[in-house]
Amino acid sequence: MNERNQELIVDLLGGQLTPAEERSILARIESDPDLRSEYETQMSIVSLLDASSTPSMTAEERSTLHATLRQQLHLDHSPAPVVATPSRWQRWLAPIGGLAVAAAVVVGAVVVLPGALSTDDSDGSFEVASAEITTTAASSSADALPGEVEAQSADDGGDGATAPDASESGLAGGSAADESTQDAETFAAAETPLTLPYVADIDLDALENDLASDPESLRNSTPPTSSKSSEFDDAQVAQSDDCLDSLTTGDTSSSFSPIATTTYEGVPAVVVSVSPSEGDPFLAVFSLDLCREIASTQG
Amino acid sequence: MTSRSSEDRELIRRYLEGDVSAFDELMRAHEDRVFAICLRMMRNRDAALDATQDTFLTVFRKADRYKEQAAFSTWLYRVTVNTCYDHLRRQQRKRTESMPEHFDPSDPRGGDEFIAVELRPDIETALAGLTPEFRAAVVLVDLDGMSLEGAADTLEVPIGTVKSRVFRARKQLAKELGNFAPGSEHPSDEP
Repeated sequence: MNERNQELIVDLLGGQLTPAEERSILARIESDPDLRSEYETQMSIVSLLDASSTPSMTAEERSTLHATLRQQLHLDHSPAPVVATPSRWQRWLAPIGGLAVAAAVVVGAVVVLPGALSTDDSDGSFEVASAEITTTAASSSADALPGEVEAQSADDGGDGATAPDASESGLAGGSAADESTQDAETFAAAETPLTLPYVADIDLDALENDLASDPESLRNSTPPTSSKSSEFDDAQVAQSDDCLDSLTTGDTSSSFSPIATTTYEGVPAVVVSVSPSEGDPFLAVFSLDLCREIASTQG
Repeated sequence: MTSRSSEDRELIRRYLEGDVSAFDELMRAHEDRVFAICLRMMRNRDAALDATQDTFLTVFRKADRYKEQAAFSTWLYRVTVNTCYDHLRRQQRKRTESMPEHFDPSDPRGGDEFIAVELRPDIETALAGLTPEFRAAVVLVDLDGMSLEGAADTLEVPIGTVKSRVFRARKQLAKELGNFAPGSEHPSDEP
């Protein structure tokens, strides 16, 4: 069977031929047993497949798909500048669950981040320093916070991602491990100066590997220390403050709990926990520049 | 440009401007077809749902890169097929890494614990024996009802290649399903 005849049969069965061409190929099929055999074979399969029903999603699958996409794309909420969010974190944060622990997640993450990273830092250059950031801490109801922490895909790339909303707040301040076990009400609305660790070279893979095996370390680690000063200069620290302020005041239906400052893929950023009112909290990395842009947009 | 294409272009524009309702409308218009392609390609319902989700994530995250010269659906189905290729490659790697003792590499069903039930099992199995490229061609043209030109655009190959893949894929399916085929060529060559 040459290619021309193959194409003609496919065209014939696909209704692609003119009436004249159709008559011509049908005549040849009639007179050529091999061609006729190929044609009948092809027609049998086309008929068989054509009779197949079209699969569809169940209502539950459809609903789950929509909800997941909305969450991943942050469509239910006002735009926010997500640079990247580590989806891997959800796997080790999820088991922690519960509200009292939700605050612990934030505090604990501050504690654990540098330790986890340092173990994977081959050249030993991992640095942790503090950046003074003041933001507003707010209370969180034990009944309201979801039990799982989720994050969006790490390949987000900042493509039009937006932030979720939340009616509860879950800001946790400080970095002492013992605070991680305090009741969330401890963090009732107040101006709280937060000392965020600066994570010089955030390595999400290392973070995942180190913490996946021991989520409890979130609550039991000691605060990071460093003799080095923050790699953020004063202007960037102030920018971080503005960024967090824009998040906490710009989207009042969400709570944003700062965890660390970092430079993610060359972009100065803050790592925060976002607690939406509907759906699970998640972690996100926000670009300082984009946060500032939002602040200016909101006047 | 069809009415559907015009609507899609407008919906993408609205989505990029922050209109969330445009997302819902685009999903309603295309999700069933995307899922159907994914299920035919992946043959596993959960895997198909994952591929469907990844397809839409990619499309919505890269919506600003959509070039209006092409129909949105063509771009969407191209992303769908490419996403399925990626997932199939990942599946294949996983299988290779954790090959069971009884694994028979010549058995196209190897490693598929869950078979999609919408097709006759023998058709499912026959489809599984096709390479992803041949499967995509026959899924788009014979199961999804896409035109040959549309399939060529979606698969980013010349139309002659689509015709060749479809012809050879059908021939292999026929052979697998009961020796309809007079010959027994293996469908592996491009024209």
